[in-house]
Amino acid sequence: MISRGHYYLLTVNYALGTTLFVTINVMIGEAGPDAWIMPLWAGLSVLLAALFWIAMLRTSPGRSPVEIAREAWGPAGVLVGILYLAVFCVTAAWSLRNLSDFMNMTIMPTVVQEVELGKVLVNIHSVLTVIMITLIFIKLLVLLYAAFETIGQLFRPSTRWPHLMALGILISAGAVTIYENPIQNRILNDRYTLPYDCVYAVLIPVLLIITMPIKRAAAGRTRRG
Amino acid sequence: MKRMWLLYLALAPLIVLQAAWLIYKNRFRDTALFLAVSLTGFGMWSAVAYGRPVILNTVIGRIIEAMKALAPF
Repeated sequence: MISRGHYYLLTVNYALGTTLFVTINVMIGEAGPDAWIMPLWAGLSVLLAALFWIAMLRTSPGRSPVEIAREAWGPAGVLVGILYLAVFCVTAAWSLRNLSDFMNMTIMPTVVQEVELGKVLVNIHSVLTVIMITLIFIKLLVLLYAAFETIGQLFRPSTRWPHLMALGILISAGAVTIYENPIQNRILNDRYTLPYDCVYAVLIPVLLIITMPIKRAAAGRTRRG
Repeated sequence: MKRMWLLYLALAPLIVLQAAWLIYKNRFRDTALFLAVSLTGFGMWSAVAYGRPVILNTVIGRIIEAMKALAPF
């Protein structure tokens, strides 16, 4: 298990990984001089989603969303766990592909041409590049950890490390097939990111917040009866 | 076909040996779980090797469109 401090740092780095660096061009392209307001506006909506998650986790302190879903919905909760596993794997595959594309664009072409250490250092022409790679890598590790823990909580395997290898095979394959090219990625992201995120980040927590008290009240009534 | 052989060479020993070890240790549930996850990955790699990859973003888009079509509002 990780501590609260670790969790905070990982979450902040996870959010910074792509949001701050990848979307900045898009924001300026869309809004021009008013682009500064977009992260604030988007941040407010994400805060609302975060409040749902806090409320959901307060219904069963110390338990993960997968465990809460199993308690609230029984066997259907397993489906929620599988959905979250798929979401973590797909997002990890997307991060790995981002990392690969980013390295291809920024470092690899120059490394192929100029292999001397000094020239390579010169070609990494900005500290931002290194930060970006590190942040995407942290995001990838967070997602791998989340998928690994979800497998552990869903199926409770007696040996855990073989599943890490299986996840490695799955995520590496996913990174190749997540999208054909960056243009297609941009079009599909624009069209489907909002409904996709809303299902797993808002809809499921809200349904759990509603059903947990009802389930507990029903269980209490059965016990008294 | 050459790429397919390379795929088998790289991934099959990893998956088969690991699954065999888990079966040898009588961990059948773990074996089933390991095979479910790793064979999904292997299937996706095979599709890439055959030149007909399953594009995940497109699949997710189709699922969302199907859900939208089913929704009453």
